[in-house]
Amino acid sequence: MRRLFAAESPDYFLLLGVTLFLVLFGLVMVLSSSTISSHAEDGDFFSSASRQGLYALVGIPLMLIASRFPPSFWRRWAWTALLVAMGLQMLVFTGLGVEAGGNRNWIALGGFTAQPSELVKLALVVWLGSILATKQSLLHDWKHVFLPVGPVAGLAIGLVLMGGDLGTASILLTIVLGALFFAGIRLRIIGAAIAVIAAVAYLFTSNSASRTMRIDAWLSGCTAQESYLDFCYQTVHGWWALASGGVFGVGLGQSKSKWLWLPAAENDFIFAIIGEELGLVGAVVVLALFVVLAVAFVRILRSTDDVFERVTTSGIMIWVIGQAFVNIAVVLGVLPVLGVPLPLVSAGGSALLANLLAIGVVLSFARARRSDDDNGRVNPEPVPVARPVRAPRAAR
Amino acid sequence: MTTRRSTRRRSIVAMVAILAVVGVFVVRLVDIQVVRAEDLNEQSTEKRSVPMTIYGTRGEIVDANGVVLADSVLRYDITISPRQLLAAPNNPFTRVLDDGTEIEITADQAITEIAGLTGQKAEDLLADVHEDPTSDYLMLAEEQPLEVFEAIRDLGIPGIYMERDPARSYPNGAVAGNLVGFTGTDNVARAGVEYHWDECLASSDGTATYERGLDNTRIPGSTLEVEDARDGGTVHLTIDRDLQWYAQQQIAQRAQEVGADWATAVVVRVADGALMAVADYPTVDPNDYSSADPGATGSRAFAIPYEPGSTFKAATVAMLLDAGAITPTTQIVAPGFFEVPDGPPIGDAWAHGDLRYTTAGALANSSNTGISVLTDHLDAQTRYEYWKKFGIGEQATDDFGGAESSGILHPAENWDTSTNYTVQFGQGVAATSLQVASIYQTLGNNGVRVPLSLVAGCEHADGTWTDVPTGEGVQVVSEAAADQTVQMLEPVASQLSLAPQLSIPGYRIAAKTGTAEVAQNGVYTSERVVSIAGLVPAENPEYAIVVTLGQPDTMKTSAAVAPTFHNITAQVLKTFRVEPSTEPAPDIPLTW
Repeated sequence: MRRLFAAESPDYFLLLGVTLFLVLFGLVMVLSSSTISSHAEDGDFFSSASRQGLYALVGIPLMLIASRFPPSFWRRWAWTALLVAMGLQMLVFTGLGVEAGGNRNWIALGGFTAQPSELVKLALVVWLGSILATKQSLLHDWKHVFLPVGPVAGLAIGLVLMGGDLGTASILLTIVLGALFFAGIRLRIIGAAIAVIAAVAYLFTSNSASRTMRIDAWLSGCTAQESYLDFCYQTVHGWWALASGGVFGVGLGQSKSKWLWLPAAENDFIFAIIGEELGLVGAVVVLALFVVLAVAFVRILRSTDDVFERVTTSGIMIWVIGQAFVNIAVVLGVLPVLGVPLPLVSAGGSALLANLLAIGVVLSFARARRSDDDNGRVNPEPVPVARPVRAPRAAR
Repeated sequence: MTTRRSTRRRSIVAMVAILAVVGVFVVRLVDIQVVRAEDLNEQSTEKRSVPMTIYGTRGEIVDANGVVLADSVLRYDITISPRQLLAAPNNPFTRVLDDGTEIEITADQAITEIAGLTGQKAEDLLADVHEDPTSDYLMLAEEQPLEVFEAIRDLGIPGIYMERDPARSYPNGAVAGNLVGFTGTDNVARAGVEYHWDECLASSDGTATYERGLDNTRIPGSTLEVEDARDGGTVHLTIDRDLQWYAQQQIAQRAQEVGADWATAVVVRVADGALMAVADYPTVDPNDYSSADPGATGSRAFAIPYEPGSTFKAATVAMLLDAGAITPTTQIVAPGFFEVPDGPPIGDAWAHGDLRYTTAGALANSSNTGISVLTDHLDAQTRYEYWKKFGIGEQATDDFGGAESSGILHPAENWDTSTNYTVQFGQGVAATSLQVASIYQTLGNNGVRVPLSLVAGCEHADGTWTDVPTGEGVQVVSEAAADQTVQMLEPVASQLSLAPQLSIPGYRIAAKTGTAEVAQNGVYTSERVVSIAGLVPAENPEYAIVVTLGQPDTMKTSAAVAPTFHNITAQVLKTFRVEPSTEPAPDIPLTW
C-alpha cells in the first residue's frame, strides 16, 4: 500500500506533466487543424479530432499502467517484443497492408489502421537497452558492438524502408546511433558506423528518382515561384502559414492554411498551424516544452547506473526529441519533406500510443529509482536538527 | 564511475546539441514569421484571394405616399457553353433522380427542359445552341427570376452558367409608367424619371476580396472590402399613385369610347405646383416597354405640344383685366364674324348674329369673336409679354429634363394679323397639357405662377435628403385679375350647356372648355383636340385639372371630355378630402 500511494520523484512528475500537457495541447491543435479536411473527407468535422481523443483516452492509462511495471519486465520481454513488432511490420507487405501517399506503412485491422513501424521503434529501443546492457563489458570491441545490433537494427530499418517510409527509417537510425552514444561506445566506432551509413544512404537515394528530386528541391531552396512544383508545395505552404501567424498568431481556429491548402495540416505539418494560429510565441513555447521534456529525460538517465535503463531512456529521448526536431525542421524548410509527425501532438493513433507507451517505460524507471531510494540507499549524513546557519563571529 | 562521468559528459553534449538546434529553429522562426512575413503573406494572399463585386442597389422611385413604383430585383442571366453541353462525356449525361434511379438525358432534351422553364421556344434555343457547337458562351435567357434560376440549377445540366443580373421591377406596371420610365436590359436608364434622375438613383458597385480554401470554399471572416458599394437614392415623386391610376383608367376608357388617338389628364396642387397625377393614353408598362407603342414610351403631357384652343381664353381675359383694359362687366358686341384685315374672318363654333356679351359672357360662352373684340384693347407686344409670364414657350418644370417640350410661342412681331387674334384663343400657338395646367395653377394661385414639380426630393442611401426646391413664384397677373377670371369661369359648370355633366353638388367649380382645330400640313382640318381645364373649389382653388382628348372620332366637341373631367374632379375632391364650398357663387351678368 505504501508503494501504491507514495509520492513519486520530481523527475517522474516533470516528465508526466510535460507529456500530458503536450498531448492535451495536441488534441486542441488537431481539433483546430483537422475540422476542414475531415469534413472534406467524410462530411464530419470532428472525425479526426474525436479519433485522436479516443487514442489519447486509451494511451494515457496505458502509459500510467506501463509506468507500474518493474524495469526487469521490459528487459525480459525485449526480444519477444522486437520479433512481434517486426512480424507486424512484415504484414504491411501482405493483403492487410495499406498504401498511402506512396508509403506502404499501414495495416488495416477491422475498422482501424495501424502503423507497425511505431511499435518497431519502441521494441527496438527496449531491445537496444537490453542487448547493450548485457554486453556492457565487451563494448570496447567494435565487433561486439556490431553484433547483433548491426544486423538486427539493420533488418528493422530495412523493413521500414521497404515500405517506402524514409522518415521513420531515418528516425530509427538516429535512435540506434543515439543509444550507442549513451551506451558509452567509443566515438571512433560510432563515427565509423555513421560513415558507412552515409555511404549506403547515398547509394539508396541516388537510385530513387523521387527521393533525389525531393532532396534536390530542398538543396536548391524553395521559393514562392516554385511553390506549385511538387516538392516545394508543402514547404512553401508551411511558410505561408507561419508567416501569416506573425508574432502573436491569427488566433486559435483562425488558420487559413487549414482550408485544404496545407496537406497533412493535422499531422506532419501541425507545427505550421501552431505557428499560424498561436504565432511565434506559440511556436517557441512548443519548442521550449520539448526542451523541458529533454531535460526530464536527461535527469532520469543521469540518475541511474543501470545501463539498460540509461540506454533505453536515451533511445526514447532521441526518438521523441529527435523526431520532434526532424518534424519541425521539415516545417521550417531546414530539412526536405520527410513525413514524420510531431510526437505527442500530431494526429495519428499508432504514433500517439507508441509515444505514450515509451514514456510509460521511462516513467517506470523513474519510479523504480524512488523505490530504490526508499529501500537501499543510505542518507550520506544525518542532518542536524538545528544546524547553525553561520559560524559564530567570535570564532574567526 | 567512469560510465557515470561519461554519461554526464555525453548528456551535456546532447543538451548543448538540443539547445543549438532549438536556437537554429528560433532564428528560422523569426526569419519566417517576422522578417520575411510581409513578403510571404503577400504571396499567399495573392494565391488565395478572390476578387468579387459587391453590388450596389439602384434606388427606388416612390410616389408621394411612399408607394413603390420602381425598385431593384435580382435576376439571373442563363448562359451555356455549347461545347461542354454537346461534347462526348456530357451528351447524354446521367441524372440521378430523387429516388436514386439514373436516367440518360441528351443535350437536346436538356435544352428543351430549359425552354420549358424560361417560356422560350425550344426550337429557337436548339438552333442557337447548334449554331456553333465549339463555342464556349451563349446567352440563353436574360433576367430570369430566382425560381427559374433554382429550377434550372436543379436540372444539373453540364455547361450551364448563371450570372447575377440586377434588374428593375415596376410593381405597379403601367400606373405612372409614362413618368417613371424604364431602364434597358443593360440596366442603363433609358426614359422618364429613371433617366432624368439617374444621378440620384444610380448605385455604384464596390469591390472586395475574400480568401478561398483549396476547394474554393470562401473562408469565413476573410472578406476584405477594397471599395465600398454605394446604393442609389430614392426618388420621391409628388404623384399620388391611386389618383394616377384613376386618371389613367378614366382617360383610357373615354378615349376608346370616342375613338380618340390620344388623351392626357393633369392634376396640379395649386399652392406649390406639385403634380398629383399626369396621365397619358396610350401609355407604357415599363416592365414590358418594348411592346409599347413606340410613340407612347414617354409622357405626351410633357413632351408633345398642341394648339390648345379656348382654354387659353382664361389667360387672355386675365391679362386684359390685369392691364386694366377691361373689367368683368365690360359690355361688348360679339358679331357673327369678326373681320380681320388681310385675313379670313373669325367665326364662332355656333352661328349667331350680334350678341351683347359682357366680358364674363364672352369668356363663359367661349366666343371667339367676343374675345377678338376684347383683344383690341391691348397691344400685341404686351400680350406677348403676358404669355411669356404665363410660361408659354418655356418648360413648366425642371423635373423631367429634356423630355419636356417648351411649346411654341412666336414673338409678337412675327404674328400676322390673324395670329394676333387667334393666339388669344389658343390657335397659332402650341402648348403641352402641362403648360395649360400651369396657366390654371397661376389663375388659381392668386396670379402667382409656381414652376410645376414632379419630384419632391432625393432621399440618399444614408438617409439624407436633397429636396427639390419649389421654384420661385412669378406674379403673372394681379390677385384681383386672377380671382375675377376664376369667378367668370364658374357659369360653365353651373349654368351653361355642360353644367349638368360638370357640376358636383356642394362644390363650386371653375371650368373652361376648349375645342381646337388641328392643322395638318399647314391646313386646318376637321380633326379636333377637345379639352376642359378647371379649378376646384372655385372660391379658393386647391387643384387645377386639365383633361384633353386628341382627335376623337365620334364626338368632336369638348362635351366628349365632360364626363371624364367630372369623374377625375370628383376623385380629386375625395382623394384629398377637399371641404365643400360654403359661399354661393357671385352673380356676374353674362349679357346686357
